[in-house]
Amino acid sequence: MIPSHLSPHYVRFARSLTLATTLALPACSGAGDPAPGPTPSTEPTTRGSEVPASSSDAAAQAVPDASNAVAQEDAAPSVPAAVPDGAADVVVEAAYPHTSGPLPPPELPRDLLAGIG
Amino acid sequence: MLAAFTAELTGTAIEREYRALASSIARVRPSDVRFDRGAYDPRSVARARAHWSGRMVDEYTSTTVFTTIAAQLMEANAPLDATAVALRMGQDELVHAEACARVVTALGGKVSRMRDTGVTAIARHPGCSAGERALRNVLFASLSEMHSVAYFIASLDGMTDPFLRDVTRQLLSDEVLHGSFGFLYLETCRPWLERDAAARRSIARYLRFGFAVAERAFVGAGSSSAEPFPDDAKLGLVSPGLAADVFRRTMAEAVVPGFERFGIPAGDAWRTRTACVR
Repeated sequence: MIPSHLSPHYVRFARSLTLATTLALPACSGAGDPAPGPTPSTEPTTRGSEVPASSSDAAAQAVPDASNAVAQEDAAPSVPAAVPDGAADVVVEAAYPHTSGPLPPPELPRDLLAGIG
Repeated sequence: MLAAFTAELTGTAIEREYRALASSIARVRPSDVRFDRGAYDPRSVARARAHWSGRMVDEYTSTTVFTTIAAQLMEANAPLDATAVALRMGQDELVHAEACARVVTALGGKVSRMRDTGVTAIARHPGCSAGERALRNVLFASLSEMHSVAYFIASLDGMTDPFLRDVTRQLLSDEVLHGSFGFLYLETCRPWLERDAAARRSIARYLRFGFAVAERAFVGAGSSSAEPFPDDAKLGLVSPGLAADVFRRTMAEAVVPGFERFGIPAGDAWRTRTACVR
Protein backbone atom coordinates (compact mmCIF):
# COMPACT_ATOMS: atom_id res chain seq x y z
CA MET A 1 0.00 0.00 0.00
CA ILE A 2 1.33 3.40 -0.95
CA PRO A 3 1.63 5.78 2.02
CA SER A 4 -1.28 8.15 1.78
CA HIS A 5 0.88 11.27 1.85
CA LEU A 6 2.49 10.14 -1.41
CA SER A 7 -0.83 9.78 -3.21
CA PRO A 8 -2.08 12.38 -5.68
CA HIS A 9 -4.43 14.79 -4.01
CA TYR A 10 -7.44 13.48 -5.92
CA VAL A 11 -6.85 10.20 -4.09
CA ARG A 12 -6.25 11.90 -0.77
CA PHE A 13 -9.47 13.85 -1.12
CA ALA A 14 -11.44 10.75 -2.08
CA ARG A 15 -9.94 8.89 0.89
CA SER A 16 -10.96 11.70 3.19
CA LEU A 17 -14.53 11.01 2.07
CA THR A 18 -14.50 7.21 2.09
CA LEU A 19 -12.94 7.09 5.54
CA ALA A 20 -15.15 9.76 7.03
CA THR A 21 -18.19 9.18 9.16
CA THR A 22 -19.82 12.54 8.53
CA LEU A 23 -20.19 14.75 5.53
CA ALA A 24 -18.81 18.27 5.43
CA LEU A 25 -20.84 20.18 2.89
CA PRO A 26 -22.58 23.52 2.99
CA ALA A 27 -26.23 23.09 3.79
CA CYS A 28 -28.66 23.37 0.93
CA SER A 29 -29.97 26.89 0.47
CA GLY A 30 -27.02 27.93 2.56
CA ALA A 31 -24.41 28.54 -0.06
CA GLY A 32 -23.62 31.82 1.60
CA ASP A 33 -23.16 30.28 5.01
CA PRO A 34 -19.72 29.46 6.32
CA ALA A 35 -18.62 25.98 5.36
CA PRO A 36 -18.50 23.54 8.25
CA GLY A 37 -15.21 22.59 9.78
CA PRO A 38 -13.09 19.58 8.93
CA THR A 39 -14.83 16.26 8.75
CA PRO A 40 -14.10 13.90 11.62
CA SER A 41 -12.39 10.83 10.36
CA THR A 42 -11.91 7.33 11.58
CA GLU A 43 -8.23 7.85 10.84
CA PRO A 44 -7.37 10.78 13.05
CA THR A 45 -3.65 10.20 12.82
CA THR A 46 -3.54 10.48 9.06
CA ARG A 47 -6.40 12.84 8.51
CA GLY A 48 -4.25 15.92 8.47
CA SER A 49 -2.17 14.73 5.60
CA GLU A 50 -5.18 13.57 3.64
CA VAL A 51 -6.92 16.87 3.43
CA PRO A 52 -5.49 18.74 0.46
CA ALA A 53 -3.68 21.76 1.75
CA SER A 54 -2.30 23.48 -1.30
CA SER A 55 -3.99 26.68 -2.36
CA SER A 56 -3.92 25.31 -5.87
CA ASP A 57 -5.75 22.22 -4.77
CA ALA A 58 -8.97 22.37 -6.66
CA ALA A 59 -10.75 19.79 -4.58
CA ALA A 60 -10.11 21.47 -1.31
CA GLN A 61 -11.28 24.72 -2.79
CA ALA A 62 -14.35 23.32 -4.40
CA VAL A 63 -16.78 23.09 -1.55
CA PRO A 64 -15.54 25.99 0.53
CA ASP A 65 -15.83 28.12 -2.60
CA ALA A 66 -19.55 27.87 -2.13
CA SER A 67 -19.30 30.56 0.49
CA ASN A 68 -17.76 32.90 -2.05
CA ALA A 69 -20.11 32.08 -4.84
CA VAL A 70 -21.98 34.87 -6.50
CA ALA A 71 -25.48 35.00 -5.18
CA GLN A 72 -28.09 34.45 -7.78
CA GLU A 73 -31.77 35.10 -7.96
CA ASP A 74 -33.83 32.03 -8.56
CA ALA A 75 -34.13 32.72 -12.24
CA ALA A 76 -31.05 31.60 -14.07
CA PRO A 77 -31.62 32.06 -17.77
CA SER A 78 -33.14 29.17 -19.60
CA VAL A 79 -30.84 27.36 -21.95
CA PRO A 80 -31.84 28.00 -25.53
CA ALA A 81 -32.88 24.96 -27.44
CA ALA A 82 -30.37 25.62 -30.18
CA VAL A 83 -27.62 28.09 -30.90
CA PRO A 84 -25.28 28.33 -33.83
CA ASP A 85 -22.49 25.82 -33.68
CA GLY A 86 -19.53 27.97 -34.48
CA ALA A 87 -16.84 25.32 -34.61
CA ALA A 88 -18.59 22.07 -35.27
CA ASP A 89 -16.25 21.28 -38.13
CA VAL A 90 -13.08 21.46 -36.09
CA VAL A 91 -12.99 18.12 -34.36
CA VAL A 92 -15.21 15.23 -33.54
CA GLU A 93 -14.46 13.32 -30.41
CA ALA A 94 -14.52 9.67 -31.29
CA ALA A 95 -14.79 8.18 -27.83
CA TYR A 96 -16.30 10.25 -25.08
CA PRO A 97 -15.47 8.73 -21.71
CA HIS A 98 -18.18 8.51 -19.09
CA THR A 99 -17.08 10.89 -16.35
CA SER A 100 -20.11 11.77 -14.29
CA GLY A 101 -23.47 10.48 -13.29
CA PRO A 102 -23.52 7.01 -11.74
CA LEU A 103 -23.27 3.99 -13.98
CA PRO A 104 -26.32 1.74 -13.74
CA PRO A 105 -25.51 -1.09 -11.33
CA PRO A 106 -25.16 -4.17 -13.54
CA GLU A 107 -26.73 -7.53 -12.91
CA LEU A 108 -24.20 -10.19 -12.01
CA PRO A 109 -24.30 -12.75 -14.85
CA ARG A 110 -25.53 -16.12 -13.69
CA ASP A 111 -22.47 -17.94 -15.00
CA LEU A 112 -20.23 -15.62 -13.03
CA LEU A 113 -22.34 -16.05 -9.96
CA ALA A 114 -21.68 -19.76 -10.15
CA GLY A 115 -18.05 -19.42 -11.08
CA ILE A 116 -16.71 -16.97 -8.55
CA GLY A 117 -16.43 -17.05 -4.90
CA MET B 1 -36.14 5.11 -29.34
CA LEU B 2 -33.76 7.94 -30.21
CA ALA B 3 -34.75 11.51 -29.43
CA ALA B 4 -32.97 14.84 -29.12
CA PHE B 5 -32.19 16.03 -25.63
CA THR B 6 -32.25 19.85 -25.50
CA ALA B 7 -32.50 20.86 -21.82
CA GLU B 8 -35.33 23.13 -22.86
CA LEU B 9 -37.76 24.05 -20.08
CA THR B 10 -41.52 24.46 -20.25
CA GLY B 11 -41.80 28.22 -19.75
CA THR B 12 -44.74 27.60 -17.44
CA ALA B 13 -45.31 27.50 -13.71
CA ILE B 14 -43.58 24.14 -13.79
CA GLU B 15 -40.37 25.91 -14.74
CA ARG B 16 -40.78 28.37 -11.86
CA GLU B 17 -41.25 25.48 -9.48
CA TYR B 18 -38.17 23.77 -10.91
CA ARG B 19 -36.15 26.96 -10.49
CA ALA B 20 -37.22 27.24 -6.88
CA LEU B 21 -36.33 23.63 -6.23
CA ALA B 22 -32.98 23.83 -7.97
CA SER B 23 -32.14 26.99 -6.08
CA SER B 24 -33.09 25.43 -2.76
CA ILE B 25 -30.70 22.52 -3.15
CA ALA B 26 -27.81 24.41 -4.74
CA ARG B 27 -24.52 24.32 -2.87
CA VAL B 28 -22.62 26.40 -5.37
CA ARG B 29 -24.43 29.06 -7.33
CA PRO B 30 -23.49 29.77 -10.94
CA SER B 31 -21.36 32.86 -11.27
CA ASP B 32 -21.63 35.52 -13.94
CA VAL B 33 -18.19 34.77 -15.38
CA ARG B 34 -18.34 34.38 -19.14
CA PHE B 35 -16.40 32.01 -21.32
CA ASP B 36 -13.98 33.62 -23.76
CA ARG B 37 -13.92 31.25 -26.70
CA GLY B 38 -11.33 33.26 -28.57
CA ALA B 39 -8.77 32.79 -25.84
CA TYR B 40 -8.20 29.11 -26.59
CA ASP B 41 -7.15 26.79 -29.36
CA PRO B 42 -10.39 26.03 -31.26
CA ARG B 43 -9.56 22.33 -31.36
CA SER B 44 -9.41 22.21 -27.58
CA VAL B 45 -12.66 24.18 -27.37
CA ALA B 46 -14.34 21.73 -29.72
CA ARG B 47 -13.04 18.77 -27.77
CA ALA B 48 -14.24 20.30 -24.50
CA ARG B 49 -17.62 20.98 -26.05
CA ALA B 50 -17.94 17.36 -27.11
CA HIS B 51 -17.11 16.23 -23.58
CA TRP B 52 -19.64 18.55 -21.97
CA SER B 53 -22.29 17.56 -24.49
CA GLY B 54 -21.76 13.90 -23.67
CA ARG B 55 -21.65 14.68 -19.98
CA MET B 56 -24.97 16.53 -20.31
CA VAL B 57 -26.71 13.39 -21.48
CA ASP B 58 -24.90 11.16 -18.97
CA GLU B 59 -26.04 13.40 -16.14
CA TYR B 60 -29.61 13.52 -17.40
CA THR B 61 -29.98 9.79 -17.93
CA SER B 62 -28.30 8.87 -14.66
CA THR B 63 -31.23 10.40 -12.79
CA THR B 64 -33.01 7.09 -13.21
CA VAL B 65 -30.22 5.25 -11.41
CA PHE B 66 -30.87 7.20 -8.25
CA THR B 67 -34.64 7.14 -8.52
CA THR B 68 -34.58 3.37 -8.96
CA ILE B 69 -32.19 3.01 -6.05
CA ALA B 70 -34.66 5.09 -4.02
CA ALA B 71 -37.38 2.59 -4.87
CA GLN B 72 -35.10 -0.29 -3.86
CA LEU B 73 -34.31 1.46 -0.58
CA MET B 74 -38.04 1.58 0.06
CA GLU B 75 -38.28 -2.13 -0.72
CA ALA B 76 -35.53 -2.63 1.85
CA ASN B 77 -37.47 -0.59 4.40
CA ALA B 78 -34.49 1.74 4.67
CA PRO B 79 -34.74 4.84 6.84
CA LEU B 80 -36.77 7.63 5.27
CA ASP B 81 -33.85 10.02 5.03
CA ALA B 82 -31.80 7.57 3.01
CA THR B 83 -34.56 7.36 0.41
CA ALA B 84 -35.04 11.13 0.43
CA VAL B 85 -31.35 11.76 -0.20
CA ALA B 86 -31.31 9.19 -2.99
CA LEU B 87 -34.12 11.14 -4.65
CA ARG B 88 -32.27 14.37 -4.05
CA MET B 89 -29.26 12.96 -5.85
CA GLY B 90 -31.46 12.13 -8.80
CA GLN B 91 -32.66 15.73 -8.78
CA ASP B 92 -29.03 16.89 -8.70
CA GLU B 93 -28.38 15.04 -11.94
CA LEU B 94 -31.12 16.99 -13.71
CA VAL B 95 -29.68 20.27 -12.50
CA HIS B 96 -26.24 19.09 -13.63
CA ALA B 97 -27.62 18.33 -17.08
CA GLU B 98 -28.86 21.89 -17.33
CA ALA B 99 -25.50 23.22 -16.14
CA CYS B 100 -23.76 21.12 -18.80
CA ALA B 101 -26.13 22.53 -21.42
CA ARG B 102 -25.10 26.02 -20.36
CA VAL B 103 -21.47 25.05 -20.91
CA VAL B 104 -22.17 23.58 -24.33
CA THR B 105 -23.84 26.85 -25.32
CA ALA B 106 -20.95 28.92 -23.98
CA LEU B 107 -18.50 26.78 -25.89
CA GLY B 108 -20.36 27.48 -29.10
CA GLY B 109 -22.32 24.28 -29.42
CA LYS B 110 -25.88 23.24 -29.98
CA VAL B 111 -27.77 22.03 -26.95
CA SER B 112 -29.24 19.14 -28.80
CA ARG B 113 -27.86 15.65 -28.59
CA MET B 114 -29.50 12.43 -29.60
CA ARG B 115 -30.02 9.92 -26.85
CA ASP B 116 -31.70 6.61 -26.38
CA THR B 117 -34.84 7.30 -24.37
CA GLY B 118 -34.91 3.76 -22.97
CA VAL B 119 -34.26 3.54 -19.25
CA THR B 120 -31.45 1.16 -18.37
CA ALA B 121 -32.65 -1.19 -15.69
CA ILE B 122 -30.48 -1.53 -12.62
CA ALA B 123 -29.68 -4.87 -11.07
CA ARG B 124 -32.31 -6.78 -9.09
CA HIS B 125 -29.85 -9.36 -7.79
CA PRO B 126 -32.11 -12.42 -7.84
CA GLY B 127 -31.78 -14.46 -4.68
CA CYS B 128 -30.61 -11.53 -2.57
CA SER B 129 -32.61 -10.02 0.24
CA ALA B 130 -34.11 -6.61 -0.38
CA GLY B 131 -31.55 -5.16 1.99
CA GLU B 132 -28.58 -6.63 0.18
CA ARG B 133 -30.06 -5.72 -3.20
CA ALA B 134 -30.30 -2.07 -2.25
CA LEU B 135 -26.90 -2.04 -0.59
CA ARG B 136 -25.13 -3.61 -3.55
CA ASN B 137 -26.56 -1.00 -5.87
CA VAL B 138 -25.90 1.88 -3.50
CA LEU B 139 -22.27 0.78 -3.24
CA PHE B 140 -21.85 0.42 -6.99
CA ALA B 141 -23.31 3.88 -7.55
CA SER B 142 -21.03 5.28 -4.88
CA LEU B 143 -17.86 3.79 -6.31
CA SER B 144 -18.90 5.19 -9.67
CA GLU B 145 -19.51 8.63 -8.19
CA MET B 146 -16.34 8.56 -6.11
CA HIS B 147 -14.53 8.13 -9.38
CA SER B 148 -16.33 11.24 -10.62
CA VAL B 149 -15.16 13.16 -7.57
CA ALA B 150 -11.54 12.23 -8.24
CA TYR B 151 -11.90 12.84 -11.98
CA PHE B 152 -13.27 16.33 -11.44
CA ILE B 153 -10.43 17.12 -9.07
CA ALA B 154 -7.86 15.89 -11.58
CA SER B 155 -9.62 17.96 -14.21
CA LEU B 156 -9.60 21.07 -12.04
CA ASP B 157 -5.90 20.61 -11.45
CA GLY B 158 -5.00 21.87 -14.90
CA MET B 159 -8.13 23.86 -15.59
CA THR B 160 -7.48 27.58 -15.61
CA ASP B 161 -10.61 28.84 -17.31
CA PRO B 162 -12.73 30.60 -14.66
CA PHE B 163 -16.09 29.85 -16.26
CA LEU B 164 -15.41 26.13 -16.51
CA ARG B 165 -13.94 26.06 -13.02
CA ASP B 166 -17.15 27.54 -11.61
CA VAL B 167 -19.37 24.99 -13.32
CA THR B 168 -17.08 22.11 -12.45
CA ARG B 169 -17.11 23.14 -8.79
CA GLN B 170 -20.89 23.25 -8.92
CA LEU B 171 -21.00 19.65 -10.10
CA LEU B 172 -18.22 18.51 -7.78
CA SER B 173 -19.95 19.88 -4.70
CA ASP B 174 -22.84 17.50 -5.35
CA GLU B 175 -20.64 14.60 -6.41
CA VAL B 176 -19.05 14.71 -2.97
CA LEU B 177 -22.44 13.74 -1.55
CA HIS B 178 -23.09 11.18 -4.27
CA GLY B 179 -19.73 9.51 -3.78
CA SER B 180 -20.01 9.55 -0.01
CA PHE B 181 -23.57 8.30 0.19
CA GLY B 182 -22.69 4.62 0.04
CA PHE B 183 -20.15 4.92 2.82
CA LEU B 184 -22.62 6.81 4.97
CA TYR B 185 -25.34 4.26 4.23
CA LEU B 186 -22.95 1.49 5.21
CA GLU B 187 -22.91 3.00 8.69
CA THR B 188 -26.61 2.30 8.98
CA CYS B 189 -26.01 -1.29 7.80
CA ARG B 190 -23.07 -1.90 10.11
CA PRO B 191 -24.94 -3.92 12.77
CA TRP B 192 -26.38 -6.24 10.12
CA LEU B 193 -23.05 -6.60 8.32
CA GLU B 194 -21.20 -7.32 11.56
CA ARG B 195 -23.59 -10.17 12.25
CA ASP B 196 -23.64 -11.58 8.74
CA ALA B 197 -20.29 -12.67 7.34
CA ALA B 198 -22.01 -14.35 4.40
CA ALA B 199 -23.55 -11.04 3.36
CA ARG B 200 -20.15 -9.35 3.50
CA ARG B 201 -18.66 -12.03 1.26
CA SER B 202 -21.64 -11.88 -1.08
CA ILE B 203 -21.26 -8.13 -1.46
CA ALA B 204 -17.56 -8.57 -2.17
CA ARG B 205 -18.35 -11.08 -4.90
CA TYR B 206 -20.57 -8.50 -6.50
CA LEU B 207 -17.93 -5.81 -6.13
CA ARG B 208 -15.44 -8.02 -7.93
CA PHE B 209 -17.72 -7.85 -10.93
CA GLY B 210 -18.69 -4.23 -10.30
CA PHE B 211 -15.10 -3.03 -10.23
CA ALA B 212 -14.45 -4.72 -13.56
CA VAL B 213 -17.56 -3.23 -15.17
CA ALA B 214 -16.69 0.23 -13.90
CA GLU B 215 -13.12 -0.08 -15.10
CA ARG B 216 -14.31 -1.00 -18.55
CA ALA B 217 -16.66 2.01 -18.62
CA PHE B 218 -14.30 4.60 -17.19
CA VAL B 219 -10.99 3.47 -18.61
CA GLY B 220 -11.89 1.56 -21.75
CA ALA B 221 -13.79 4.40 -23.40
CA GLY B 222 -10.99 6.84 -22.77
CA SER B 223 -8.22 4.80 -24.27
CA SER B 224 -8.20 6.46 -27.65
CA SER B 225 -4.87 7.83 -28.78
CA ALA B 226 -6.25 11.26 -29.60
CA GLU B 227 -3.67 13.92 -30.28
CA PRO B 228 -3.43 16.38 -27.38
CA PHE B 229 -4.19 19.98 -28.29
CA PRO B 230 -2.45 22.96 -26.66
CA ASP B 231 -5.28 24.15 -24.42
CA ASP B 232 -6.80 20.82 -23.44
CA ALA B 233 -5.67 21.02 -19.82
CA LYS B 234 -6.68 24.66 -19.42
CA LEU B 235 -10.20 23.59 -20.34
CA GLY B 236 -10.14 20.66 -17.95
CA LEU B 237 -9.64 17.86 -20.42
CA VAL B 238 -7.98 14.85 -18.82
CA SER B 239 -5.66 12.67 -20.89
CA PRO B 240 -6.65 9.01 -21.27
CA GLY B 241 -3.57 7.95 -19.32
CA LEU B 242 -4.38 10.18 -16.39
CA ALA B 243 -8.03 9.13 -16.50
CA ALA B 244 -6.97 5.51 -16.12
CA ASP B 245 -4.73 6.42 -13.19
CA VAL B 246 -7.52 8.38 -11.57
CA PHE B 247 -9.89 5.44 -11.74
CA ARG B 248 -7.47 2.76 -10.58
CA ARG B 249 -5.84 4.74 -7.80
CA THR B 250 -9.14 6.05 -6.51
CA MET B 251 -10.56 2.54 -6.34
CA ALA B 252 -7.46 0.94 -4.82
CA GLU B 253 -6.50 3.68 -2.40
CA ALA B 254 -9.81 5.27 -1.44
CA VAL B 255 -12.83 3.10 -2.24
CA VAL B 256 -11.37 -0.26 -1.22
CA PRO B 257 -10.21 0.89 2.22
CA GLY B 258 -13.54 2.64 2.69
CA PHE B 259 -15.42 -0.62 2.11
CA GLU B 260 -12.99 -2.61 4.21
CA ARG B 261 -13.86 -0.47 7.22
CA PHE B 262 -17.10 -2.41 7.27
CA GLY B 263 -15.55 -5.83 7.00
CA ILE B 264 -16.22 -6.21 3.28
CA PRO B 265 -13.20 -7.92 1.69
CA ALA B 266 -13.03 -5.34 -1.09
CA GLY B 267 -9.28 -5.59 -1.56
CA ASP B 268 -9.56 -9.15 -2.78
CA ALA B 269 -12.47 -8.15 -5.01
CA TRP B 270 -10.41 -5.37 -6.54
CA ARG B 271 -7.33 -7.50 -7.12
CA THR B 272 -9.28 -10.26 -8.85
CA ARG B 273 -11.69 -8.04 -10.77
CA THR B 274 -10.34 -8.60 -14.25
CA ALA B 275 -11.24 -12.26 -14.25
CA CYS B 276 -14.90 -11.30 -14.15
CA VAL B 277 -15.49 -9.48 -17.41
CA ARG B 278 -14.89 -10.99 -20.78
